[in-house]
Amino acid sequence: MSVHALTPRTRKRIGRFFLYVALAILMVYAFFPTFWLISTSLKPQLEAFQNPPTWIPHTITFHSYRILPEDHAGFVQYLKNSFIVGIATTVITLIAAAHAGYALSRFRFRGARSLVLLILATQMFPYVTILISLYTLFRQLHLLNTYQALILAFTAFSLPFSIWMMKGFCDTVPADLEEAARVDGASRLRALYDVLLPVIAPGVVAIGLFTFLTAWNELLFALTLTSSPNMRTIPPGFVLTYIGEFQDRWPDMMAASVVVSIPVIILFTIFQRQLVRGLTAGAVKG
Amino acid sequence: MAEQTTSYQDEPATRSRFGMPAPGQALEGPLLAWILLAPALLLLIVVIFYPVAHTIWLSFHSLNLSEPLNNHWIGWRNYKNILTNPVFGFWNAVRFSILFSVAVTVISFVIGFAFALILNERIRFQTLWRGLALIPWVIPYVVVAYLFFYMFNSQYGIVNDVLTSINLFGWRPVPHPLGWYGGTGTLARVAVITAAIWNRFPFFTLMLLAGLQTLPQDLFDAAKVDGAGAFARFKLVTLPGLRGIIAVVTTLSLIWSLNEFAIIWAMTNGGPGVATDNMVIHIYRAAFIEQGISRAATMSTVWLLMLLVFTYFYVRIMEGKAGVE
Repeated sequence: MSVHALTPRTRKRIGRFFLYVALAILMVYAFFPTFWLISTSLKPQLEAFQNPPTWIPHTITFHSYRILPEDHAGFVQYLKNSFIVGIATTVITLIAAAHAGYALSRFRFRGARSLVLLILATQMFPYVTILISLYTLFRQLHLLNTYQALILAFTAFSLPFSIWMMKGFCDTVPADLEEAARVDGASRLRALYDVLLPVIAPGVVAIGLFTFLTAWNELLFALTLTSSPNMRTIPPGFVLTYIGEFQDRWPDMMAASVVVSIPVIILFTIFQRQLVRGLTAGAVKG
Repeated sequence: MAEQTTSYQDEPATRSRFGMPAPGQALEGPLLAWILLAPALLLLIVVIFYPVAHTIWLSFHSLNLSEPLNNHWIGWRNYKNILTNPVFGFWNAVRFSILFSVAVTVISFVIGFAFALILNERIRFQTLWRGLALIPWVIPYVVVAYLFFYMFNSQYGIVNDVLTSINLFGWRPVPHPLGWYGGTGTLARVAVITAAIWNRFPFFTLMLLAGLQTLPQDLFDAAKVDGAGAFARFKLVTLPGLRGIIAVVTTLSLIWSLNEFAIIWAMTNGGPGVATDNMVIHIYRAAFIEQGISRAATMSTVWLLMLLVFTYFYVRIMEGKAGVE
């Protein structure tokens, strides 16, 4: 029997069936590694080396989580550093990008067009080109092993994309809106803070999330610009910890991995709606 | 270039042409624009433009940290060396960088798009699935790297366990466990690319899902009335509607993949041999492990020029996109 001989209703049912099968396959793909991460973190050391591996731990233990604070010297410190650097980077990026994006969206001035092109092109510069000289520069300025070094670097990397997004968001809002406020005697900046920013708030949240994620994830510069364990963020902390003495302590490593993933997962869950709304409004248009 | 038609072009007559405010008036015009831009520009100059210029300058010198005093101008010699002598591994790194970026972008785009199309349908627990699908993207790179490193372990990894247990009527495609991180390195390449794809696809899902929701529903209805099947609707309505966003997200993904360091470094260190040595790892190693600062600077400069060619197209896409609005 050909498909066309089926009643529309049956065809629709078959379609739904395949839709859910496809969803199931993709969800398994999306979630299996995360399941494996959690499962391994609950295993005793020896079980993690078993062949064939066990899918659900035979013995479930929270030992790897309990020893986390004192056992992995510096783990709490890495987490703290990542939070400080991530939050500072996000705040500075948002402030700088909001003003720059607003200026590029609302003002006409000589060089504006070239500036937008330059900022877009910056996005393409390979970070590694910057690394060698930035390392030398920060060493001369005695900025190695400081929060400032990491914050400055991560902010600069996030800025081009953030400015471009912010300009896009501002472009979607008609200027009449602010004009109305300005006629009432509000200054330019008041119009930006009180009228424009509340309107594009979801977009601002989206930029903030992208920026925080970048800072939270960055390894290359974090590894190069810090050498003291006190200053390391999570990525270099992980690499240097688990390549050294904790190598092959899989459950411990996975427990630490779960813990460092939770903050970003919570953050994205809270702001998911704003993120999608922001992206729908601005970046995606066109 | 989309200039704002609503920009304030006419300055009030009381202002000078430089936009200096008359006494008692708020700051306006180009001067205010530059003041608003100043913090961002200052940061970009100090952290990006100056270092790039300095790197180019270094590439014409002979700086090696093992003998820092022997630093003098040597012209194009570094360039000649890295471009013509395979010992320096430049072209190998170029090849793997491109292979890695294209593979990661294309495959994760297909997976991410499939996800977006499914999650855009009316299904049960939609919000839950959307939330879960995002998780691989927000898990830190180093965690993704170590997780896949463990899953691809040759002796007790789950990937080998699943592969060796495949048995289709006596046909076993993988009878023996694979040594993922040894041999010629082909398998190591597959492993790092697989890890990067899993981390990347949710980005495509997120952006394309947002794009799908901006498509006008009446276009789909009209196509349906005209008798267009699901595939025709996808080809004639969905794809053209998403063209701009597809161009943007695939370009972003290519850029990120060309800059990838964390996943590869944490999984393989660029090995075995130089099999997973991409440009970033290659330059990092040249500068900070082998201490050949000038050689690394030269490779960085050439790589920068190669990416600038790519940037040219990138900017044109972005401009074209802005022009549509």
